[in-house]
Amino acid sequence: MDRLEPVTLQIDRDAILAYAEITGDFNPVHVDEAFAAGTAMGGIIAHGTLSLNLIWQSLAASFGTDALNGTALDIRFARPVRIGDTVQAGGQHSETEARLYDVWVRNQDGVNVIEGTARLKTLG
Amino acid sequence: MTRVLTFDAFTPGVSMGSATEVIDGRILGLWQRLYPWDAATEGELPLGMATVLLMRAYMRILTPRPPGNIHARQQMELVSPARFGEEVITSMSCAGKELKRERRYVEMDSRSTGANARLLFTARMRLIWAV
Repeated sequence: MDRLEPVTLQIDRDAILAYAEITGDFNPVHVDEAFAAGTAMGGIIAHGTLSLNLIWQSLAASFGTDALNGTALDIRFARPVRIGDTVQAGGQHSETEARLYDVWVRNQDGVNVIEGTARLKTLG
Repeated sequence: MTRVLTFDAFTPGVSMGSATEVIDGRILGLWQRLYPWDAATEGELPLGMATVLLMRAYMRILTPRPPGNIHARQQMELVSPARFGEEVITSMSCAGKELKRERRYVEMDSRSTGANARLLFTARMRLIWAV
């Protein structure tokens, strides 16, 4: 498979608050507008892993969950995701290694907000 | 009153503790409202739930945290999905710390096991620590 199945999510305040409940992460940079405005982020940002989960979902949609046991994901959170953004996870087979995929989450402007690699144990 | 965990409190190679987490129906319900296409199958949790288990353990082990920490990088090797209702034990240790361009970076290693000490996933988180 050359490209992974894309998975898309619109980020709104309800999504961020729901994810704070799911993870127990109520860091004020995610939930407190006044606090977040005073940080280097300049306002509320979504939890990085809220978008990261889309990569696992893209991999699962592409290969099925059983094929992903043993998968190693290595990503960096490249840019913040904000309320109103639409993010889409995807990936492409790497030219350097058979089991390696370049993976990303991109915002509505096509800018990577998460980027990295997924190394599958097998190719399913 | 417990003092906030600051950058100075981290020592590479030192265990920071462990936490037990269970994904119950409330959390799974919230997940499925957020990601309705990502359902549990045959009792196995969605793969991304490994990250949730990791983050929940992080919240409990590294506490109290200063406000404003930023998650910069994550590495994870998924060995096996956790199951609905399974007790997952996550242990964490400090893998490293560095001061770079006036930012305080902390790296945490973790290992998570389920029933009968079945290995579920290992991870390394890189965080920008606020203070």
